[in-house]
Amino acid sequence: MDLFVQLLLNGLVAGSLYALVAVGFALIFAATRHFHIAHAAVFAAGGYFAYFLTDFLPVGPAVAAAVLLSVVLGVALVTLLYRPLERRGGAGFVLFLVSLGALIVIDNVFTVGLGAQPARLAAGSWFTTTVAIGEWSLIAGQVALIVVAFLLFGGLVTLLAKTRMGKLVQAFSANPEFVEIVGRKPQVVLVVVYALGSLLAAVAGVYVAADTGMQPGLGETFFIVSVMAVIIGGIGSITGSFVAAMLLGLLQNVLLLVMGAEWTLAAIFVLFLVLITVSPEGLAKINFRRVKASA
Amino acid sequence: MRVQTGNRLVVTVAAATAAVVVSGCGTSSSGSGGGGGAAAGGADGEGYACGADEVTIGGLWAQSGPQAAYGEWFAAGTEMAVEDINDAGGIGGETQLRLQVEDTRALPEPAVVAFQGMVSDGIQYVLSSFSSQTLALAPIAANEEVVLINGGAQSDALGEQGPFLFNTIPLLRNESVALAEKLREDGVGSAAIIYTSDDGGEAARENFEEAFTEQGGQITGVESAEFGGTDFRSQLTKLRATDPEVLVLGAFGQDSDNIISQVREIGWDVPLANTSWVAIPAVLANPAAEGLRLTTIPFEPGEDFQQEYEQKYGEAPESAFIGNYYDGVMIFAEAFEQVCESGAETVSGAALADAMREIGTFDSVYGSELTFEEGTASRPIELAVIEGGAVQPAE
Repeated sequence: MDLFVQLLLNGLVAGSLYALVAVGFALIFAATRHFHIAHAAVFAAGGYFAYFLTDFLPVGPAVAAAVLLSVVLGVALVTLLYRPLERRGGAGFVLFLVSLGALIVIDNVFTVGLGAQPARLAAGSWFTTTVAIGEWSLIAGQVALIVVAFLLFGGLVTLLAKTRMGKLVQAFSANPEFVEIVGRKPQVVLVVVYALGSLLAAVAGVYVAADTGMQPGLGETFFIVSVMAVIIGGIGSITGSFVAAMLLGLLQNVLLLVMGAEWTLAAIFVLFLVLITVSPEGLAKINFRRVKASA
Repeated sequence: MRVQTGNRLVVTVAAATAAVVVSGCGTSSSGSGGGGGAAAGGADGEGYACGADEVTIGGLWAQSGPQAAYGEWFAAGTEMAVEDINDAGGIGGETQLRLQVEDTRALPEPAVVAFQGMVSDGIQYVLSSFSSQTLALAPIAANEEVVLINGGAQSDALGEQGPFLFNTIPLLRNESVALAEKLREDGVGSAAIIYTSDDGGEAARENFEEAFTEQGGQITGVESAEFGGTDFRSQLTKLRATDPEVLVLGAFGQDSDNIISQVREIGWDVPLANTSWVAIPAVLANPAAEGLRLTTIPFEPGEDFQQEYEQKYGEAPESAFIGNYYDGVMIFAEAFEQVCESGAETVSGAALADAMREIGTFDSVYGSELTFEEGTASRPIELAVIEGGAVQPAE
């Protein structure tokens, strides 16, 4: 039981990390239908920028500036790359390939600029301070990650539901032309969507840099699991993506009770394949009554 | 919160993304001593030309990513040897040596692509490292009859890869046995193992488990971890529950550094042990690594080498990996010269491999001689401990 609870806590940490990347991607995809794989580069940028900036700034301002720069990067990708291409008729797979190209270029620019070593952000000794939770424990950095993930998710849901801009984003997702009908510029909505999505990914990247160091290719690893969460949660559902990401993190850790770590991700992929076979639109659309009846 | 969209695109593209990412799209390459040419200097389809102005050898190791710390040592040893040969007038006083290096990130896929490129350029001699990468290259090297030199990987399987792979580093079994014996001698009765799921990590687990139980020790738990992963805390939590007297790490590079940090972060004060590959700068600088017991391959080069190295790199040559790659280049020069002196007009990979077996024993920068026993160098192994941020001899 002790071990089970500790694994649950560790799963919550992993789930929070996946959730930040997944919710950001879900928001962008739902609103724009761009398969923005360069989201992985924005995630990495959060970590790399924070690492670089600590040479010039104290860690707090460096982290804030890193998140801001990553948001600028995400917005630059849509305004300088995707939008001009869309205006020339580029869509779907073309945009994906361009996004993939951007990811590779950005990854390599960071690698060249960084040199050989992984970028480990010196967050301070508080980050690794052990926080006892009953008989169990996490480090302070992990607790901060969980709190920040829930706060950002709550803030995003509130923003989308309660503010005029949030409602415009939802309207844009359903019908992009509607935004123009009500006298707003679609570009503004796009910028807001990419900025919010990038902010979430950048926060996750900063955490990884502080915890174990950012490395080339790490963004892609987190991105793949996060896309899985977006599909499981029901494409287009922000809440579904968040819940699915948390479940993936928990499952990945709790499965260690019955199998080795090399099998947990494979087991999750198998479950994922079963799920999208049964319900291609994710967990939210499963008709459990029908599944039960046919069984 | 729900917004409308189709999902066919996202599923298709997700699959494509996974395929592209898994295939290793993020590799990069760089050259040393000039850009990569269409053909290796002085080479044609049958090998290098004797008397050529310049010949090219290859280097395949991590220049980026979690194992890049090793790549820096491999590059330093190799570059210094190339420079020493060229400064002395070249091989046989006439042939300059050129090094072409590509970044593999210690992964097999980019290594295979880079190796095939080198083979098609006519390169007959390639220095490699990392078990998974070198094991992937060995059958291609045998098929193409190109000599592969490994100075950094230690999986025992590397000792059985045919006549074209030579290891200038002892394989892992010897180190694991020495570590197990030392722990038992120190009265350690039980151990848990965490290892990464690459060939090196697998070999470390298998060897230590076998050696430690043969010595009468008990293995309380074994957990695998993703090679190049970031979070090992759950596996460590599981192993802590088995209450071992020591935790053995079958992991190297950034993985070992992260595991060591995370052992202490979860509040576990278990003694740690690993083999010589753990002693990278990041681990030595990690306060959590204090007291870690390890095996070492003593590397004590001559005064001249030490001075030259310090002048060039601003630090002492403390890692045996530097010597392994320096030796790898010097062996090439000696074998090349022998083939040409025998009257041959060209030097193929097969001729180089034959010459290496014929010569058998080479001078080593270690200050001793290097003899290949069935393709693998034999070197002494000692026990040590990390104290004060440095590797100190064990009592």
